[in-house]
Parts: sequence; structure tokens; C-alpha cells
Amino acid sequence: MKWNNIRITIFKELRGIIRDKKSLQKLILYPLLIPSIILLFGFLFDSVNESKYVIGVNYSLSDVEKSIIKEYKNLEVEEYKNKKEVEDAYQNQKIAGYILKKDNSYTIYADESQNSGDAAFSLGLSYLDAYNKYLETEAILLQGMDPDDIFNPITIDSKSLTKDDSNMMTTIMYSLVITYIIMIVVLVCVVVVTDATSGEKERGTLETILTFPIKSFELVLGKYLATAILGFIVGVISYLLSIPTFNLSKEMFKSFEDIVFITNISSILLVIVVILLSAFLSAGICMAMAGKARTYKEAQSSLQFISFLPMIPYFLKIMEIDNTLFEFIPIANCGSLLNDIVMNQVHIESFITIILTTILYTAIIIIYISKQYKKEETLFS
Amino acid sequence: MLKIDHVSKEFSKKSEDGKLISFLADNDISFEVKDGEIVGLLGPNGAGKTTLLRMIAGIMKPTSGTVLVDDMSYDKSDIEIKKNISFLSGNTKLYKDISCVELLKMCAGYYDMDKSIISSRIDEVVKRFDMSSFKNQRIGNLSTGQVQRVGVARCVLHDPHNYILDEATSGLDIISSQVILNFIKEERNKGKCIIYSTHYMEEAENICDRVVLINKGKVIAIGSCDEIEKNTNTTNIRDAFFQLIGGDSDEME
Repeated sequence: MKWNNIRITIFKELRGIIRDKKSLQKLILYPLLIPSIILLFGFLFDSVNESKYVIGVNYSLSDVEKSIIKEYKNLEVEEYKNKKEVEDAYQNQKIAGYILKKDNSYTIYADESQNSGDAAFSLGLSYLDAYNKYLETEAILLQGMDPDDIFNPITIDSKSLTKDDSNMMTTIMYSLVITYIIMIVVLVCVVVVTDATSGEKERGTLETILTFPIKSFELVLGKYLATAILGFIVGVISYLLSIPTFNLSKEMFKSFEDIVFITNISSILLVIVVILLSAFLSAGICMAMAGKARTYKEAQSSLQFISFLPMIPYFLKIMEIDNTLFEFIPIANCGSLLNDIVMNQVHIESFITIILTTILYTAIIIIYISKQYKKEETLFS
Repeated sequence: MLKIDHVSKEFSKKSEDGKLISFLADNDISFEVKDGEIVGLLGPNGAGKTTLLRMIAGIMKPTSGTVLVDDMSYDKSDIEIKKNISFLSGNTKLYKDISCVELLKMCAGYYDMDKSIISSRIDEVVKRFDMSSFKNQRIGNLSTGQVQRVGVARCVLHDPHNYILDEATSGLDIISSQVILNFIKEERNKGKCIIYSTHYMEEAENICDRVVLINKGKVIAIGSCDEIEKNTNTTNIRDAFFQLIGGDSDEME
């Protein structure tokens, strides 16, 4: 094996991609989307947290009810004269939900399938619960009894076990950004492999290079390394861009003020290692799958599904599914590991499993593509 | 020297009813190309010329038979042979995003040329094929004739002993074609071994020492143009070809 041939091939592929305007645009655009996503989510989360939900009622609020409602920052209650006025206000989208009172019976109406309806429903229920408790306390006091004896026969306290003050929003945020970093690595590999394999066939340049004194393994290895290198570089840039963006978003958005994005030297190095491994694996899978494609379009369609692999850990996180088997899903497991690293939740067993399986998959893939690219049906398909 | 010895190449393709059928693109082909000789490979489109040339250039393997280049076979000396051959095709494209000089440097690297002579050798071929005015331009911005000149420069750069030229003048104007034909003659005069495939019969008559007529994957005649014309009682190679395949040149045109 001649390293010089591999080096020339790597350089040729990288130069080809960088000089192709469309490919270069993609390589620049993918990492830039990371800050955009974080800032957009910060803005959205804040706007959700600061939103006020208006509930309509068909009765006059007592002073006690008004003081209870005052305690809810995002609840506003609007009084209407009768049921019809309340319903009209709801139809005209002036209120997110409404409460109808008949004698001592209160009924909450809200569309829980909508975010505002769901918030109106829980806020309305909470306000009525508080008011109900006030009335119960008053009644007990009138009987000359201690309300604590009735309501609190036992003492209940709670302490959060959530690490690093993280919450659901920050968890989703982390998973999304990490998913996207791995997705970027895959997408870059798709761009480079499409050009380096079927692109070369379609342009008719592959025939030229096959007449050179170069072994097919050297040619394939050069293309493979160029793909992995570019995937790795863009992946690392994306990750490094996410660090200042998270820090900035902590200052800018209330929802992110408690966010902890682990950025010590060891975690940065671990993340870089995982991005490197995922780049090598993604490059290999892309090359194996694009091998028999004759045209750009064929290669792109055969590679489309790989882009969705990094989404798996994100969905598992949202659904709170944890299964050791997922540690064996190629590429997806790298995303899962990255997620654990930046949240400081790395389990050494799963870390070793994922690193070893990724190295194993990569080795198998390299052997497969080196054999595949010796076949004439791959080279001249 | 090139020696093609009972070479056949079988491909498979899907028939209309979806079944896989085999066919021979080249069927038991044998001939030799000596040093200092231009042998023309003539035949219509689909005759099997390109497949045969790809096997001679070592980018395809014969199903049966052997290709010997300077008495070496691809099975044993693949890299050694490729260092001493050059393949130029009318259909072969060059990288559009790099300049002529960058392409030549890349080729020099693949051919493992001595670094100390690369620059002077590039200057030499740039001068020889009159490429000075566009040598630093990207190949994608060049005209068809200029691109083909770059292709020839790429071929000659490592000074190979054997040339495999496939439809090298295809689609070129008369001036660009002449540049390539002159280059072929010059190389022959230097004692190089050249196989030249074309479907321009008159062109072959002009430059080839011998021709191999090929049709439907089979060799139908080998010899100098004069010999073939004499054997077929015709006055030009075009008529000889049509006589050999049992058709009338005027009718077929």
C-alpha cells in the first residue's frame, strides 16, 4: 500500500468538494444551523414560559378568588355576564378556556390537544383546587377544629433528584443539539460520498483514475478518509459552535439560565473522539451503500435513510426508553453517548460498549467496501 | 508490445421479461501490437472496442484469455504495467474544478514521478501542446478542443511506452483532431506501441500501420489497409468493412 496514492486521492476529493459551490455551501450552512436552533428554541421556550392564558368565567369573582388568581403569573381570568358570552369569547379565540358555574358546581372547558388549552385546563383546575381548599379550611375553622389535623395527618416533603438543575426543556435541548451534531457528520459524509463515488462515475472521471498505477484499495481508502476527515472537521466545528451559543443563551433566555453544558477539557476530548468515530463509521456506511449507485440521484436516495439514524436517541430520550440493545445501533449509539457526555452522565460500561462496537463496525465496513470496489459492477454500474 | 491472446468478455443484462441473460461483448479476440506500430481498432458502435480497450488498459478483467503488456500480465504486475501505459478516451472526462497544471501535478503524483523533474516535465508538455494560454484555468472553463489537449498532455506526461487511445478525436474539430493525430504519429516514430480505436475509417487509413476490424465482439479481419482492401477487392477500408460484414455501405449509411 502506497501512502502517497492515498494522500493524493484524499487531497483530490477534498479539493473537489471545497471548490464545488453547492457542496461548500452545505458544509458551511450545516454548522451554522446549530446556533440558530439553540437561539430559536431559547426564544420559543421563553415565550411559552412568559405566556399569559386567559380563562373566561360566567360569574363574578370573589375577593378571595381574585387574590388566589393573582398568585398565578400566567393566569388571567375574565368575567362575563352569562354562558353565551363566555362561549362566544372562546369561539372568537379571546380566551384559552372557560369555567361555567351553576349553583356550587364548576365545570372547566378547554381543548387539551392545544398547548394554550392544556395550560388553561391545568391553571383553571389549580385555581379551583386552591379556592376549594380555602372554603374547606373556613368550614373547618367554623367548627372549631384545626385544619391541619384534617388535611395533614401526615407530613409530606419532597426533594428533587434532578442533576445539575436540568429540566425537561434543557434535556430536550441537549438531545436535539447532539442529535443534530451527529446528523451533520452523516450529512457531510453523504455529500462527500455522493460526489466521490457516483459523482465520479457520472462525470466519467473514474475511468481516468482507474488507469493510474493505483490499487483499488488505495483509491477507496483515499475517498473514505477524505469523507471521514471532512465529516469529522464539520462535526467538531458544529460542537465547538454550540458551546459559546449555549453560554450566550444562558444570558439571553430565562429558560436556559440553569443550563449546564459540560465543557471541561476531558468532556471536550471525549466528544471529539466520539465525533471522530461516528465520522469514520458514517463515511464507511455511506460508501458501502452508494457503491452501486450509477447517478447522483440514485446515491442520494439510497443514502437518505442513514440521515435519520441519529434521530433515534432523540426519540428514545423523549419517550424515556432506555434499553441496552440501543447501544448496538450504529451511529445512533454515538449520538446517545455524546448526549451522556455533555450531561455528565457517562456510564463506563456503555461507553466502552459503544466505542468498541463502533470500531468493530468500522473495521467490517472498510473490509466490505475494499472488496466491493474491486468489482466491475461497482466501478462500471 | 501488447499481446491480446484469446480474450473474451462476458456481461449479464436483464432481458425484457426480467431474466438475467449473458452475452459476449468480446469473443475470442487475439492480435498483437508491436513497438513502433499503430494498430487501429475499427468497428461500429457496440462492436466491443471500448470493452476490449478497457481490458487492455487493465481497468476490466477478461472473462477468459490474457492481455500481456511488455510480456507482463495484469494478474502479476498490475501496477508495473499501469506505470507504462496511457489510456485516452473521447468519453473520458477530466476534473472540472482543477486547473490544467493542478491536474498534471496530480497525475505526476500518481505516476510517482521524481519530484525534481515534475515542474520541468509539465512545462515541456504545456509547451508541446500549446497550452500556455490556459494552463492555469480550470478545466471546466475550457473548450472541448482545449480539454482534449489537456487529456493528451495528461497521457504523455509520464512518457509511457504503450498508448491505448479510444475514440480520441471524437467530437473534435479538424484542428484539434490534427493535434492529436500528429501526437500519435510522433509517439509511433519514437518507437512507442499504440492501439488506436476509432469508427472514422478514413482517419485509421491515414495513420494506422495495421487495422483490426471488429464486429459484434469478433475480429473479422486483421492486416494493413492495403492488404484488407486487396483481400476484399475494394478500394477503401470502409467498403472492405461493409463487404466483410455482408452489407452495402451506401445502404447502411
